[in-house]
Amino acid sequence: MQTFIQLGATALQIGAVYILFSLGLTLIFGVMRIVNFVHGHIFAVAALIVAYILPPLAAGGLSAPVAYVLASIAGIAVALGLGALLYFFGFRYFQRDLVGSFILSIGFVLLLDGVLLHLFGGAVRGVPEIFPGRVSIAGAQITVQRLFLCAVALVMAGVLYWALGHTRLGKALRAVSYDHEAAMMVGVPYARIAFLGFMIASLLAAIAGVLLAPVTIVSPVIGTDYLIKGFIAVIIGGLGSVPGAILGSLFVASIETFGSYYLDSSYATLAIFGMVIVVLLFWPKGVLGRG
Amino acid sequence: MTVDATTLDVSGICAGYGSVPVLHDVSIKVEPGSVVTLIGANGAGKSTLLKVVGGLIQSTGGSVAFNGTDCTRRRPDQMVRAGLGIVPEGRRLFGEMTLRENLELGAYARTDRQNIAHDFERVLGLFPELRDRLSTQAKSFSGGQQQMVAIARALMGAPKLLLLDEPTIGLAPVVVDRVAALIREISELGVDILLIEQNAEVALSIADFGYVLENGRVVMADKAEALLANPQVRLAYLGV
Repeated sequence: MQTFIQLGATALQIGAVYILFSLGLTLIFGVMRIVNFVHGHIFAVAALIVAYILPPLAAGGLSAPVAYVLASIAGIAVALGLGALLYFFGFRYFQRDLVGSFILSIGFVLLLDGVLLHLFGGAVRGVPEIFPGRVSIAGAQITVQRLFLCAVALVMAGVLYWALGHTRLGKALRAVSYDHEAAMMVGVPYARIAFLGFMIASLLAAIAGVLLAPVTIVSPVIGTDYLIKGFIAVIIGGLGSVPGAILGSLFVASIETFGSYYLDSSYATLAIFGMVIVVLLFWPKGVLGRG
Repeated sequence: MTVDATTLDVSGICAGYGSVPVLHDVSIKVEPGSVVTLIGANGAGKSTLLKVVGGLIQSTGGSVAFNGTDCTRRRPDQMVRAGLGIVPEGRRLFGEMTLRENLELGAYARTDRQNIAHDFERVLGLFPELRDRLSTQAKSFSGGQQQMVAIARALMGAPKLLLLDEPTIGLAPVVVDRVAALIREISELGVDILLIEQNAEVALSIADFGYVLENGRVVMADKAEALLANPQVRLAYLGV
């Protein structure tokens, strides 16, 4: 039982990051009908910036949390700038073009792989501990840093879910996602809403990046693994569906965690891909998707 | 802009999809206070004209003036902001959103937010059957009710001109009568109407003026009662 709780806590921590990832992917798919495979690089840039400037800031005499907040703001700002560039010089011209946007995003992936490697080097970077210590919840041991990550991710997911249902922008995003022409015909400015949706998704990825930087080792290729898992989560949950993204993320994280413990980690990965095949056979649009 | 400016002045519009031309030199007018109908068979170009006016597709020639202002090649949200209300073909409701959310989205482009609550009540007054179902998802309404919701949603934008694209298609005769009566009622509230219809009989019975579109060209333009009496129209569109 103790093991089970500990594994559940671990699954929730990993799942929280997948949720931030998959919410972004599903949001972009919803408003623009494209799959953004370069989403992982927005995340990586935020994490890299934190890893790059946090040590000198801390060495300069700032306390760890203050240095972390400053580094995070910088990381998020740079990642959002990158997101805006990708939108204005790329995705803007490939809206509702699944094949064109796929080729474009693969191109961006290759380009950014090279640029990030050149700028930050291939060496992995450790980030000093920001919130030391660990706590015990219902018998499960969790470091304070991971608890913080988990809490912020879940709050962000909750805020997004609430905002989609209750704010003017949220309703416009849902309307565009349901029928973009009908949304235009009631006066929703499609281009602006698509851009905002893309930027909110980039913000979620950037937040995931700065949250994850202190609890993992950061390298330019860090985004790829999370992108794949986040993408699988939205495929299982249903592209375009917010509850689907959340459930899919928790599901993937659970299989990964429990599978690694009870079987072995390569079987766990195999199981995830096996699940995708099974889900797509029975629910071609994902469990909660409407496609 | 003069007070009596023609509400909608479509002049010499040419448009199509890709390299396929659909509309050839189409000119129509909607004068203030009138109900104008555009009738024609399937594929005549009626909906294409609506999309040009609404800014959803670009014309390749000609101009659109709305309330005396040139609005050629404006974006749809700019047209809505300028006072255009669109009831699209097939209703195009936000099916997974509630009736209330659909109506709220209808008012999305408005700048006079303080009047929205008042108009919400006024619109519900036109559709008493919707009042108790504000929390219902739009897709669970019947076809006739969905048509009412689509009209109500467009009215929430406080339009000066309402474009309706085939509002009676697929509806039971009793519901068609209800929609027709409603269009007259909306017209009396001071909203000008451009009604695009295949059902020429209904359309001409409620309109003041009518245009007949054939193969992307306006082939007849006359007072609605004159068109109703026209032997050619009767033969081609009324089946008598």
